[in-house]
Amino acid sequence: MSFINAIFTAALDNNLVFTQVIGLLSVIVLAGRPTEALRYAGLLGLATATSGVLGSALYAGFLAPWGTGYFAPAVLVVLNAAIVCGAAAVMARGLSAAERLEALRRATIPAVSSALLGVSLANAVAADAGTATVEGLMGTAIGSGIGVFLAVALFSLIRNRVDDTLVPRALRGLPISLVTASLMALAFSGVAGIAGGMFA
Amino acid sequence: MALNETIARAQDLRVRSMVHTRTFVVVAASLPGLAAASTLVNGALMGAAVAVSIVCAAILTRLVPRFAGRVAQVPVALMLNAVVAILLGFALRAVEPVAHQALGLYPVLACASGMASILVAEMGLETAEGERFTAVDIVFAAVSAVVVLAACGCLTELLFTGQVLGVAAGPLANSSIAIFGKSSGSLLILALVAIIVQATERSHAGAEDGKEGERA
Amino acid sequence: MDPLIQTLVPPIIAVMAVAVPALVLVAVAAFARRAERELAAEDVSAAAED
Repeated sequence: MSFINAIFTAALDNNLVFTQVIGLLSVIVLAGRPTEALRYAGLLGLATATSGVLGSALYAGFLAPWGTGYFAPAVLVVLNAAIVCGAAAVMARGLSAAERLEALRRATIPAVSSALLGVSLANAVAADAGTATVEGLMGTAIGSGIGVFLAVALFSLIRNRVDDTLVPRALRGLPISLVTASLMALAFSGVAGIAGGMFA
Repeated sequence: MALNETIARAQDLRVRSMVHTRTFVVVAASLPGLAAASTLVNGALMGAAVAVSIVCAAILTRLVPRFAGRVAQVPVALMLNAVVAILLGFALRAVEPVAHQALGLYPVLACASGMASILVAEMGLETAEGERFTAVDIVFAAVSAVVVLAACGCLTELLFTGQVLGVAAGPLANSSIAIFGKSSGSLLILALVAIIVQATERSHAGAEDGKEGERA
Repeated sequence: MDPLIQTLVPPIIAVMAVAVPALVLVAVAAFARRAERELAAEDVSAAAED
């Protein structure tokens, strides 16, 4: 039960993008390509979950026991970029040369997204504090991935439906994207305490 | 398919036109540290940390290609940037341990995010040669990180708690606005800042177009 | 534990923890360069046909 509770808490109560405002910049940039919203959302969500699982295991299993925990951000940043770029390269394997290059080009922004770093560092802090269990850490990683998927997909779809011609000129472009993000953050805060509490 | 390629190209143009503006530079510099900018002091500290990280990232991403081959540039730049972020976290802990305790993971995350923006702009495969950040853009991003995060922190503290640096703000002290205690309020304040910067940028661009029209 | 092991193992772990994902990135970069070469070769052959 604590595993499922951790998933729902991380996905909805403590949503990485809208509640903790981590990785929101990459979500705003990725929303500029609404036709590929689900693909990017899936890539970023899977990468976040994988990074959380692998990063926590690396930190708790190797870095922290040998006293090199302070070096975790440097290790995790390279690990995250490797996960995303490696996944993009594997997925683009059978395509034409131009499509392979395009896939790697598009993977640059998710690769350096701080959402991946955020979930693994947060798990590292929880592991250090000694309060976290293995299923809690894994649940948080997977839940964060689901939360990031929801955030990217929903933000892209909603932002695409905002007709810029009806928006006042002063608000067009980035300002209305930030207002949209603010309203979505409000929506997520509305479910805080409900989702995680269901499986406690 | 031709229609998909046309749509993809139109979307690419839209993203490029959004990203290569001063408004985006201001938002990119301020957004990572926004959640932690809940007070004026926190906002100023986060802004200072992000400003230093942006300048360091710009220097590193220019230096790394000189000693790393094209293949090794990105992992080397990523790692060096992350080491700088770790050192900035340590520096913040040494200078302001209480604030560092309150800010938690956010200094390292904000520094890493700020550096990532620079890295993508300089080394990302999406960037064409003429679109890289100039030194003026870097300085502008660094200064705007400090100013905007301090301003956001000040407004958030004022509207949520009714006081700034212990000084109560009269009527606001009695009626706090709950939304500003959450990320929604901070994003609204940043949207307001983006409106001001965008309006300034547009009027400046309009004035320059007018001058060119007169010369022609 | 042997003091030599306690001194040597942490930096080795830190280096390995960075080097393994960095190798993956190097492999991805080589993959990208191969795609660029193929694309250049396709462009050259298309120009030659024209």
